[in-house]
Amino acid sequence: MGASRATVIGYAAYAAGALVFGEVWPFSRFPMYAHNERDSVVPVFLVDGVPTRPEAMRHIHGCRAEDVEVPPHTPFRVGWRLDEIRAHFRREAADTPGDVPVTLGLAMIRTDLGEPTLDDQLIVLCTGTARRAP
Amino acid sequence: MKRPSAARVALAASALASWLFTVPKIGGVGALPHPVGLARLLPLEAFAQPAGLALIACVQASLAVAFALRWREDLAAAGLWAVVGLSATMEMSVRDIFMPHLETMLAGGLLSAWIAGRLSARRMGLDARAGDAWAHDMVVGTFGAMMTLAAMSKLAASGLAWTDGPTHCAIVYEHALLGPPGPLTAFRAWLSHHPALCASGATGILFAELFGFCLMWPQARRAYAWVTVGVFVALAGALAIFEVSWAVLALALAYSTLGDPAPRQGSSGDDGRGESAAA
Repeated sequence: MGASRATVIGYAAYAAGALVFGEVWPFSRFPMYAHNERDSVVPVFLVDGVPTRPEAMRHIHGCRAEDVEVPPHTPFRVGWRLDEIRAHFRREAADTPGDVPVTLGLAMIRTDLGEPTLDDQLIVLCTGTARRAP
Repeated sequence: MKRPSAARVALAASALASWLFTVPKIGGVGALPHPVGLARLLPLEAFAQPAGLALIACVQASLAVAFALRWREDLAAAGLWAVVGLSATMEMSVRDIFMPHLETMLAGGLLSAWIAGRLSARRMGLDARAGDAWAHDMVVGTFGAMMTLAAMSKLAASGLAWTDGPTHCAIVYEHALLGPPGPLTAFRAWLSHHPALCASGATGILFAELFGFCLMWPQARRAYAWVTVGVFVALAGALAIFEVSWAVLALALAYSTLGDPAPRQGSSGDDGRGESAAA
């Protein structure tokens, strides 16, 4: 049994549209995961020097949503996580200091050892205080 | 009332989901700071307000039900297509991104193919059943093209180096590190330390996508649908990328039809096109 003519037309029409128009809805070449760079930074949130999920903290003072920005030319691919942290900082913004020091930074994932590890060097984005969630 | 086919319900659900996924991303913003497309020409800000979001959700749900049940289906399909397009425009206008959510791309592309298929079938003078089969096949072809294009983009941007194990392990590691702790966190942490497995998975996904053209052959559809399910299960397990509609629609288009389901019979005769066999 040969190929279905309508399927060939559907396939060719969409592919041609995507190649001609590029990223114009409803056409797309689906390039979202096409560029994979090995080096990338991830956000690291330290509470009293210990890596912790920001969501475990309340009443965050000194670190604002606006501080959660990746410096130019710094490779990263976890915009979704930065959005979540920004939203949490916005929800938990406090006017008065909390009782534990916090630091938000970016750490590079190293792959030169074969397996991924977090680099010790932190690009500090902000420091402040917060309270532990009950 | 006509019994809706699984494929029709899946496509209607995907179209509805595209709006439901868009709402949390644009809800509460109330403005379109980076207008694109129609948002440059029309005052679409009203739809970014809570009342506008709710109104569109109601319209979209009504259209999805009408499409699934084939009530004024051409009008319903056109309406669904327009609202999915509105989702795309608004998401891109709020988030300043070059393409909307994958759900929005999937529903938009497949609805476009369905509408084009119906129009072309009418121009060719096909009867209702043959026209449905023609339009269904155009939708299947479009799905295959989407898969192949995703692979071609990877090959064009990175070549076979895209399958690099340590790079994919680093991505899996990110998800183990940053995602909410859950049953798959330990698996992702373990996987991120096995570059050969990461490379194998990436290679499998790349070639599975590349072979989207297999859908052109009706007898290969079911096998390819299961390959597609494998791709999206792997993406969910390793990278927390949950694109349920892609897997569901692959199965629904292979085992069901966007036309009317064939009457239930006891026979096992089947040519690999499931409910569309009668066409």
